[in-house]
Amino acid sequence: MIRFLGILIAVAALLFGWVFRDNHYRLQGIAMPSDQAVLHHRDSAYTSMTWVGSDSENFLQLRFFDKVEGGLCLRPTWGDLQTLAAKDSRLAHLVPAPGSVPPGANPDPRWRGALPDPGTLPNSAYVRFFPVGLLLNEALMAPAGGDLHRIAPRILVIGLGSSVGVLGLAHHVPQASITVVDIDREVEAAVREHIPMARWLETQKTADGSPRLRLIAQDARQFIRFDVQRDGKLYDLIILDAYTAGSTIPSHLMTKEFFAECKNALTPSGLVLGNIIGSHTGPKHLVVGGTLRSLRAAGLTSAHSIPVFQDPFETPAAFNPAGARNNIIVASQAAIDPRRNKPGWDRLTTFVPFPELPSGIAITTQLVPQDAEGRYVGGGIPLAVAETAVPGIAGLGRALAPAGPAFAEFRVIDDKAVIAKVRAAGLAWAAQEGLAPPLGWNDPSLHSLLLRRTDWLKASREVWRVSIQAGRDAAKHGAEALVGPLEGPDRDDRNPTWIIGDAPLFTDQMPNADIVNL
Amino acid sequence: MRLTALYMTSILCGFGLMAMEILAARLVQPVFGSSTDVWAAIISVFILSLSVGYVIGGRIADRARTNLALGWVILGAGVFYALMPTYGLRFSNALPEVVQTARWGALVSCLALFLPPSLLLGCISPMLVKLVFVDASMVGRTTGTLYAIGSFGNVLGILVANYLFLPLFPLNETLIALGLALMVLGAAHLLVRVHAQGEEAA
Repeated sequence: MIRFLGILIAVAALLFGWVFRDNHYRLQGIAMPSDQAVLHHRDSAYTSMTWVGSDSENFLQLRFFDKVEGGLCLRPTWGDLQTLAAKDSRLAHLVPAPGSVPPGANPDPRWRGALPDPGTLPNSAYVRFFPVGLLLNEALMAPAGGDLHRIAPRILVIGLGSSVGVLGLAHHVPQASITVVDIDREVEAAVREHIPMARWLETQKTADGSPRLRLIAQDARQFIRFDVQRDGKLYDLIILDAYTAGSTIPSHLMTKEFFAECKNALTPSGLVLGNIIGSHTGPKHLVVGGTLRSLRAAGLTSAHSIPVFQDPFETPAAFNPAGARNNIIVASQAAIDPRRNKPGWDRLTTFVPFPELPSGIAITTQLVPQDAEGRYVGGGIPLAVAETAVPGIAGLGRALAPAGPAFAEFRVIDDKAVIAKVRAAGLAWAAQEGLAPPLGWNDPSLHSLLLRRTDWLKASREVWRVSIQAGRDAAKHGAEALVGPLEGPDRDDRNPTWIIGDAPLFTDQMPNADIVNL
Repeated sequence: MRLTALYMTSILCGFGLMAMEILAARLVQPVFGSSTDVWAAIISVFILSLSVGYVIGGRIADRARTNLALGWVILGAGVFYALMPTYGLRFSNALPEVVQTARWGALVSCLALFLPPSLLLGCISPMLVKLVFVDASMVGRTTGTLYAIGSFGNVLGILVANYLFLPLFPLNETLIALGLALMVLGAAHLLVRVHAQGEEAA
């Protein structure tokens, strides 16, 4: 009798587990739109990834768990780009002939509207900086008169992610032959499935017959060791953007020995460009310091770090060295620092991201509840829904004036009657759409609403302008200032005079993962 | 027939144990990442639970004369597998920030999440030895064969979980399916009696 009871309890546990199983990806989140839909979810040996889209905020994002890896701003759509290309021949490299790519509407039934094809405008900031690695290459750029359309570089990208950075690079440099190495073939499969532009680029050839985009599923260290031996061709740029789902860089891709292998795969004027999350002081300084020191120890002696300014309220003058952020770290055997490569830095200063695209094509709006200190406390309600309850809401409240990169317009609405109307409309809308109630709208700390209207084209240009302006200050961001002199008798680690005094040297014997408190 | 059934039990439990070890990495990754710290935590917890499981399983085996206890243990492991999707990620998320960000944080999570089910599966080996054992002159051969078969199940579990389960099926459904398989196995042992034979021979 007790045996049957035991089996019955087990069956009950099975049913309980099935019914109450936890979603491994968390859809609802602070500052995320309430109408997000999962388009695709996949687990692989290396990661777990989810493609998420939002109708109201017009985006498609690849998330590794709840960490946003990178997103695409969906305007311009594939169709928009075709229309633009018909008018402007400089955009012709972006789009295929009509009909050569399958229609982009996503067949996933969970997606309620029609999902437009993504364009190339990223809404994550650091990936816009990949062209830095070409613009600083004097031997490559000078003969072409500084025109990215007139160079035909070979580029190696380590770490694919959502592919948005690579697509932006292909946008800016139509004759580039880009090879992407990612350890996870599931990530590559997902990109091919969801990003028509990536799929199409793989079929395209540059003028000399090289593929515009190659996706290779392999460990980058294995690839780089044998690739150059195989065909003897060197790269003009190697981009390091491999991260694990825990937002750490695989340690074997961060050592002096690996950087030396990168150097051997580069032309003499070629650059390594790394996306390094860290700070100059404070808890994440060893990552930036260790990367710079190890790159230079590997023979890429001219190095520099450009901080990516993503916060509209931060200015270069008020640069916070303790704040963890994306840093674009560049290194080369050739001189690339601002003092010795003025033409290169002038190119960076005058460069305008996505120069051919007309403004006003990539705008998203968010209406998010926040507390008295301006911290988000909930998820966004579509502006269109709020507009039906409170006509003209986009013009209400007071405008905030950000001091840093001006890529968004902010309005704060603290009228309690307006908030109540928007809340009621949002709850009714969610119920009607069969969505979970918008997060945080009944939170007692809800103080006001933040209306954020972002022009992603403007954002791309502003973040670039401010970050380059800040990064040009060699006294704050140059390798010597940050990690001191090169290895050798001059270097005195006991009495450091540089900013990151305890910058470690990452080696295969002592890689970053083995250094405590990284 | 009787021997085949016991060997199949060994394979299935070995399979479930190591499949869980691979899936465990996915379960803690959202909070703790996928560094060597996480792998150190997972592997140490699984080996620890095997070690404790062998001790407990050995004691139970000495008292048991049939496969009844074996059935209970496997059924219990299945219950943990089936419920893991409800509490696995929630537990890690609920830990205080100081634990979530510490290098040893994954160890706390792995101990709480994976010690109970893998400890139960660790009890299986000595209990099976007792049931398979026929004759003292053959004890080396029987236990050797049993360990070999169990380890083969371990290898299968690792490879199938990594190359088939992870890319093809969602994590939660895989865990529940493994739980179901263990429950069916456990229920079979509860319902079909197998007697230890060495006992009579001795």
